[in-house]
Amino acid sequence: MTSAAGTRWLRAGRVPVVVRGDAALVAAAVGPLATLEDDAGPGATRADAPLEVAVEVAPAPPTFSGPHRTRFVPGREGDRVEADGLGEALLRPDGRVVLRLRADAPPGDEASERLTVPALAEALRRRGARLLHAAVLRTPDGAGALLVPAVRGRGKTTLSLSLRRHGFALLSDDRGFLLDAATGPEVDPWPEVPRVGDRSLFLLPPHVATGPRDPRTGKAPAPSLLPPRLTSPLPVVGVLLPRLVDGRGGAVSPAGGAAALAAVVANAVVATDPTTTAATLTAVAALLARVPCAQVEVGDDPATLAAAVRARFDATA
Amino acid sequence: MSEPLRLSPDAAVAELSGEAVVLHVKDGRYFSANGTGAALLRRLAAGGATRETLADELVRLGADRARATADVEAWLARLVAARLLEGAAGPATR
Repeated sequence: MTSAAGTRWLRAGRVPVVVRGDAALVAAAVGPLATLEDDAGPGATRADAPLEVAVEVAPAPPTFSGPHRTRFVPGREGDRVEADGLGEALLRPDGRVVLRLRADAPPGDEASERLTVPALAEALRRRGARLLHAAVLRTPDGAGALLVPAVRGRGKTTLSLSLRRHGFALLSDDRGFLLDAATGPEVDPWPEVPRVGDRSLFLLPPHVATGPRDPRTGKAPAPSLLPPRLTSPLPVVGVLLPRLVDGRGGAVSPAGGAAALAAVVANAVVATDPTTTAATLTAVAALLARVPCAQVEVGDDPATLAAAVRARFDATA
Repeated sequence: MSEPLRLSPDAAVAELSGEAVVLHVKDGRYFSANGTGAALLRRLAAGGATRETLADELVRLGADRARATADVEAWLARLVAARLLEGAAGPATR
C-alpha cells in the first residue's frame, strides 16, 4: 500500500519491508513486489523489525553492451548486487538495503526483477525467508499448502490450474517464501497473476479473459485469477514435482532422496552469498525430511490428477 | 598412503533418505549422489579420508578391490572437475 509519497510497506514471510525514496523510483523498484503489500499499514505495531530499503538515484553508469547480468559482489563494507545497465544494491552490515537505481530505468518490471528482487531475496535469506521458485496451493481441507517447485515449462502452471479446478486454492503461480518456523516449514505465497501457455489454456474457467501474450515466453496473463494476499504464512504439508506427460496423466508416486532434493534445490538456490546458499540447501533438506514429496504426472485430465493428489495430501478426500 | 582429501570450503552437502546433494555455494551448481556416493561424501566430510579409505568403503559395501579403486578415481575426478575437492592432485602411486 502507498502510505506516503514514496513509501511502500511490504511483507515477506514475517519480515516487514519498508521501501522509501522518490515515489517514481520506489514504484520502479517495487514493480511486481507490490502484491506482497502489508495490510497492517505504516503505523502498525510489528513484531519483527522492518527490513529498510532506501531507493536512491544511481550515478550515471558507464555504457554497457553485451548480455545484461545480475551478479553478487562480496565486500567488506557490505555486499552488493549489481545489475548491468540498471544500478546496484548495497546490502549493508546493519541489515539495511540501499538500492541505487538509474533515473531512466526502463518501464515495466525489469528494474524490479533484475535488481530489487535479487537484492531483497538475499537480504531476506539472511532473515530466514527464502525465495522459492514454486507455485503454492492450499489443500481443500485448508490444512496447509502444497509447493510445486519447477522451472518454467515443466508443468507448474498446468498442475496448479488442474488442481484449482478441483478444490485447491491457487495462492501463487510462481514464487513464495519458504520459512523456517519452530513448528515446521511454512510458506508465504507471493501472489502474482498466473501466466498461461497454450498447454494450460483449456484449464481456465470460461469467464476468464487473458491479456496479450508475452512475446518471449508465449504466455498470456489471466488477471482475474490473481490470488489473494494472505495475512500470515501457511504450514507446508507437501511438495509436488510436476512432470508433463502425453495423455491423461494423474500418476502420483513418492519422490525422495537426491532426486527430490536436487529438484527443489534447483528452484531455491541462487549463487549469491555462499553462507546463505549453504543454509538454503540445509533448509530444503529439512523441509523434505518433514513433509511428503511426490512426483506428479501432469496430462490433460485434471479430474484424475486432482483426485490422485487429494488422495495423498488431503484429509477430506 | 595417498594424501588426505578434503571437500572444498565451497562445497555444501545435504542428505535425504541416504542420498545426497553436494552444492558449490559460489556458482550454484549442484550434483546428486546415490547412497554409495553419499557414503563417500560422509567420509570426506568427516576428514582424514584418502583414496584408499574411500576404496575401502566401497569394498565394505560389496565392490571388489579393483572395481572400487577405479570407481573412486572416476568419482573423485568428477568432484575435482566441479571444484568441490581439495588434495586430489592425481591418483595415488601404488
